[in-house]
Amino acid sequence: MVVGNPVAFILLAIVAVASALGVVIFRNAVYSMLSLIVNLLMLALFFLMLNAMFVATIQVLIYAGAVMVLFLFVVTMLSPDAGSAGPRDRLRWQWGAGAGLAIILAGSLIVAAVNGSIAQDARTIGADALASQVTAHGNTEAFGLALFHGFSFPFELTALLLVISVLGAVVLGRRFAGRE
Amino acid sequence: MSLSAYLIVSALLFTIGAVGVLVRRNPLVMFMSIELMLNAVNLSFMAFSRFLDSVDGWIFVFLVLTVAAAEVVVGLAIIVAIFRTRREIDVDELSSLKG
Amino acid sequence: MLNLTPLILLLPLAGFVVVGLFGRYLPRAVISIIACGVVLAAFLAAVADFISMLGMPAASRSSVATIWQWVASGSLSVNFALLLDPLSAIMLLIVTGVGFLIHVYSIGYMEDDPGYWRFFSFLNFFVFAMTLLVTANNFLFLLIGWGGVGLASFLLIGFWYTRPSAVAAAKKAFVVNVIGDFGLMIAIFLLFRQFGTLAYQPILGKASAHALAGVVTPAELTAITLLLFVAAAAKSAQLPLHVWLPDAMEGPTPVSALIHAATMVTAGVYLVARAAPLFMAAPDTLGIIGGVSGVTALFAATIACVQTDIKRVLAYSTMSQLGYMFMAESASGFTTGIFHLTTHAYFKALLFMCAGAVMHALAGEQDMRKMGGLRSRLPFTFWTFVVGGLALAAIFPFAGFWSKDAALGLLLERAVSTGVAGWWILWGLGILTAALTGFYTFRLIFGVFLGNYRGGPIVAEHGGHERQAVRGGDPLAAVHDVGMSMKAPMFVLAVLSVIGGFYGTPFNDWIGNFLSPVTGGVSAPETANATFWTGLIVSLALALIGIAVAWMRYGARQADFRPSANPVAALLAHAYYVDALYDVAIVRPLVALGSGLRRGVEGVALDGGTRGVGWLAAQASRGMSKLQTGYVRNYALVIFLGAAIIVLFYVVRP
Repeated sequence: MVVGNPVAFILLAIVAVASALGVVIFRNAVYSMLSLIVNLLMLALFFLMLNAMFVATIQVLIYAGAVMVLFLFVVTMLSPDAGSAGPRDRLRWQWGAGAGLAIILAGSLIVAAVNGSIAQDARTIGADALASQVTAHGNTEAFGLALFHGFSFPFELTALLLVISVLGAVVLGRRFAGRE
Repeated sequence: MSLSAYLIVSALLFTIGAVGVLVRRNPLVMFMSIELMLNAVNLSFMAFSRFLDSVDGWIFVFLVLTVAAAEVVVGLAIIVAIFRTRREIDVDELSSLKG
Repeated sequence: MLNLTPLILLLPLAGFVVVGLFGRYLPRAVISIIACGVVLAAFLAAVADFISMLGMPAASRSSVATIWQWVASGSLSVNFALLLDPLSAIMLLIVTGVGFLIHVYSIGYMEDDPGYWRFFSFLNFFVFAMTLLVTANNFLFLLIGWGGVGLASFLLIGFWYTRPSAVAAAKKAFVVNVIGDFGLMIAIFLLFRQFGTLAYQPILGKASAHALAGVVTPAELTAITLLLFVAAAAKSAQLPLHVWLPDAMEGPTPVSALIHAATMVTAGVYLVARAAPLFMAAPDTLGIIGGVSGVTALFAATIACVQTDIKRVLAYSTMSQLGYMFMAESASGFTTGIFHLTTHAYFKALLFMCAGAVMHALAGEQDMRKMGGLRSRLPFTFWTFVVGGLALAAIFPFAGFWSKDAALGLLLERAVSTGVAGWWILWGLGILTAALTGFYTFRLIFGVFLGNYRGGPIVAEHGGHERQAVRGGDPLAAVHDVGMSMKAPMFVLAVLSVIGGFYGTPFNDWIGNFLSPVTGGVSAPETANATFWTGLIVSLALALIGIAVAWMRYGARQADFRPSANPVAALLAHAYYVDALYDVAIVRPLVALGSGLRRGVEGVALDGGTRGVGWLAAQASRGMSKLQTGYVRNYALVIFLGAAIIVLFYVVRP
């Protein structure tokens, strides 16, 4: 089944991969961060192509909006001088090992995706429910119904997790009396 | 596009993020690579959700998103706490727990 | 018929327990009374049994006292039963009688020893074990008694355990004895296999070779009897298991008198006599016994001729006399062997007591080269020594004369009647040994008592008051003869050495008649004919010649014990280097094997193995810890590797 415009897809794919490579390759941390933001936007467009407006919106709002802003603050706080190369890398051999493993991993995943062995295992749980839900209630409502009816427990746990992380950040960010 | 296409894109993004974790020494860039990996997974979920006509994928993406945000918060707090007083930001400096 | 054997058995045991547990706290007098009292009571019970036995007709002089059933396992049933028959009665009289006399002697001899109570408890234990040995009604309890006397011997040889030489001698005795025990055990296994029982009556009741042939093959019988002889040889110090007896003289003299002269070493002779029906049906074994014992008799007599330690002379003499007993038994003269056992008990115990008296008087001196001229100081000892010596040299009419010449007569009669060269050789060995016996015995006596004193001044401490030798005066001023507790037993044994042979003469072979229902076999005095008397004259003459030579060398002129340049003398002095041979051939390889095993197996393999496990664990962990580089990125790589493997597997799986 084909969803979305093939041309648009290819374009988005190329930009997404390019920006991902940019994240990894740029020496300057700020450039990496900006590449990541581009990547996130591309993903949001992917979600739109997959007919999930609500999730796309959330992606832009939370990820590209809040998380990346946080990143920006920290990057500028910690490495204001762009392009600090630092001492020579002690673990240069990891580049080779990493490249090898990357090829293996990507290759296997692609092969698995293409020859359909993943699709063979995928089971349809609750299938034929989404499309009808969306047309009946609209995107957001379909999402909300699922979240609060079927997944209310994980939702609460996630809320708890957020509280914990905020507390952790507060504690970790303190300057301890008597130190430094 | 077919499901396989989305999955291939997701695989590529994931692998690039993994390599980024391995070769970059700046902890912030490593974190960003981790975010990249999480987003790749999100793409996978969304593709499956669409193609299997199920809302569970959306819920998963939502949870992954939230957890990633929490993780970023705590992780950056730690990085700030560690590297606040150092001049060089190099994750290889934190190697005193060696056996 | 009166059968008090359980009492005879348990009285010394009770003495052992009481003196052993409480002797440390009891006064000497009480210990002496208890220890000697129980043995005296046992002796009186033995006498009572003997007298009641005499009243019974010859055929029914056997009574078994069963105490309880000890083993009932499958087809093996062994009772703790004690047999009273002529053979065991004679042995009991010897063991308890001579044992009692030696207990009394020990009161005087061991008076200065701090381990007084230990000594008497061990002596009582020995009497108990020996009684068990001779009264057991089956081979299993014989074995128990056998082991018990071996243990008693070990304890008593090593009595002065702070002396390394004593400890080594005790160990040597025990190790050699165990070889004999092993032979006895294998023989018991074989007996059980063939006969299905271990009691005496079923096995020995089949008195004729014909009946035995139905149960065992001749080869098996030879094997069984040979193994029994191995046990007897170990216990009775015959070649090649004789090496422990000279060293056993490290023990106190009463021990040498009781155990290594009168009783324990005769256990082998008793065993052969007891199993006489088996031996008579195995003529090959009897031949071997004869050969071994004959060689031993001569061998030991030659060595005794050059020894300078008075106890060692007597030890080798014992070995030689035991050879006589076995020679008699090899010619089927079992009663003669037992007869010589009894007379030997009298005079050899007496001789040891005399030697002990000399040593006691000279404050422990044992070396003949430092003695001489003691006749005037120790008259009683001198005369008893002479009596014992005459009995040992088999001079008419002392006890040894009758028994030894009965043995020699038996051999001569066999030689003449069968014409087999072996018997002639044995008889030749026997009379040659008789000559040597006369020689070395009187060499000893003359060397110790006649001539001039060759030793240093004696400082003797008796009963708490010290008598110093006057400087420049008589070095023997402090030497005096023994006290009454030692004199009385010596006197009794001297009397027995004179008259003790008269129950086995050719004119009145009381002992032969008494024992033959039990043992069977022949008894030389029954066949007293011209050959017998000729042989008797020959051996008597040779003994007298031996004494005369000793007189010429050691009595008429000053005894000179300087080591001879003669190479033969060196050979004899080192006992034909048998000990050295055993050391090189057996002891050293075993010790080397042991230390090699200790180094190799225990050191390298076991210790090294267990420590190696620890070392391996440490090395492994050290290697593993190198994985912990401390770099987060390495850990990430490892995780990545794991993920890649999982995905790969997922793709590749069939």
